[in-house]
Amino acid sequence: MSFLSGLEPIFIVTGLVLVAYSFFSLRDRPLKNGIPQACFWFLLGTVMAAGPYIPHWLCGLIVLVLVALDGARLLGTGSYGEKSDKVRIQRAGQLRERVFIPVLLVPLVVVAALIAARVLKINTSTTALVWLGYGTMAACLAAMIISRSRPARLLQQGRRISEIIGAVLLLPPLLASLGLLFREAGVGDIVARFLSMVVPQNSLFAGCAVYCLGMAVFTFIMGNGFAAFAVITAGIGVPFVLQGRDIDPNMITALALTAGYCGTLMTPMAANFNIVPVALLEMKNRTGVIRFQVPFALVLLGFHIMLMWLLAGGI
Amino acid sequence: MEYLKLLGIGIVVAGMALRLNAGLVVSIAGVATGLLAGMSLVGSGAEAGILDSIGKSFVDARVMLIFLLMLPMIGLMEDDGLRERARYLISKLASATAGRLLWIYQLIREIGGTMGIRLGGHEMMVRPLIYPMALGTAQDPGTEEENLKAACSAADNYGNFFGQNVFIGSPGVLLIYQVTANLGYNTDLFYLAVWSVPVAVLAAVLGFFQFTLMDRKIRRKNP
Repeated sequence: MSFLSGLEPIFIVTGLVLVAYSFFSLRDRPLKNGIPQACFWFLLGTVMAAGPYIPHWLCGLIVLVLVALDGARLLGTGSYGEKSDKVRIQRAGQLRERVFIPVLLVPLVVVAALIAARVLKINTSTTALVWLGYGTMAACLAAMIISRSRPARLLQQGRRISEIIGAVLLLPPLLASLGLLFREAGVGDIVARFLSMVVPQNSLFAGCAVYCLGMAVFTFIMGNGFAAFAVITAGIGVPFVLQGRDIDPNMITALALTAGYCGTLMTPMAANFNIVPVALLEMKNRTGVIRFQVPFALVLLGFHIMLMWLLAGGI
Repeated sequence: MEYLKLLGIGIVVAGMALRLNAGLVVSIAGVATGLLAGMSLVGSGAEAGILDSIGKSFVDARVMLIFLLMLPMIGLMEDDGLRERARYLISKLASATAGRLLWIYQLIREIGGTMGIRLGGHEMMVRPLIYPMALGTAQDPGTEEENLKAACSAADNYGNFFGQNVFIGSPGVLLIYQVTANLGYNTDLFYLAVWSVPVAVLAAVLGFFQFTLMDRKIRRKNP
């Protein structure tokens, strides 16, 4: 029972799905990039399902192999038996709004479970995550029922999106590891000492302002809010806002990430969002999208600083 | 000498800014940080090495990959016309002005995000649907064209960025959860999502102002 109420069963199911992808990839294009792609899914699935039973150093090595497979440009997309545009539009007409049911099922299950847990007074520290996992499984089942498909098609279509996303999906956990290494190496303390020459460490307002601005500036430079979050939270968020204060870290860090997104709105480094549309819409001005977004981003960034300060008990 | 440890940050910033492979950049920065802190590659006894540290934190961070389990369901429904249906429903929205249309599109995209779905996208929605609809409201397409294109792209970005963290399974929320846990602070997915609501609402309000102002400017030009 305690096994089922934890996260391990969800990790195991996810891992098995990824291992299944590897067989499809192998069959799909054995001569092109099928073999490295199959290795990628197989190794990732193995770590996902059995990570705690594998020595840590071996897991670390596997992670680096996964990164190297992508770095060497050995991964790519294949064919997934998807429908033609014409058939798909026809299907959309048949299923109508039913096509949204599985998607809506996930948050519905989570919220229902959280309410039930509150009513039954069950400890809810990881419950939300666990129900997210089971809710997702229920949604996958519902999707198969609604579209009258076999599991193979479910897996193929999951593999389609997963291979389109590609190895970028490794980035969040990699950034979490980087944050951990930064902490062990004491990077946060050094940044804090450096910054405290300019920023008063005991001022809550200055702390909130530097945290939000740091997120925006680093996201601007890197074009990636997730990477900025790992770096800036270790370097600024903890020493200047959270450390030694009795503040709810949930609200502070949630605001910090979207403060970073304000930076994304202003940077040509976030090409997908700001430069690709320029090409897609055949605009004359390369920075046209950014220009439109700058006033919005600056005002919203200002709100972030004020909101963080207010919620942290600034008054 | 101690400042050498900051090299890791430098590598991440420079590598990302140069658009190198993000996974490689982050891994190299991690290994470099560990080496500069005097860690060995594989630990011995109680001493953890760099590979041990990467492996352990990756296994602890598997939570962040739970969203992979959602992709089969989304992929299957997409192949059965989820996006086509969404596009059809949006195309039925009649709106007198471009600004109002774009604000409604931003709202729909935000609400989709709070439930964990990507309803929009520049390729999927803006170019084939939203931009032609916005242009359809223009009185003088020649002069408004460029500005409308920028506004359509912005509406998609606003809706995309500021709604998604309200969904507890979003990669952003999972990232915060894991990074803060590694730094020794306990966050909770549910409350992270709840505290993402104020900014989602603010973004909607700001979008309303900006798109309404845009409408007013267009009206003043074409009285």
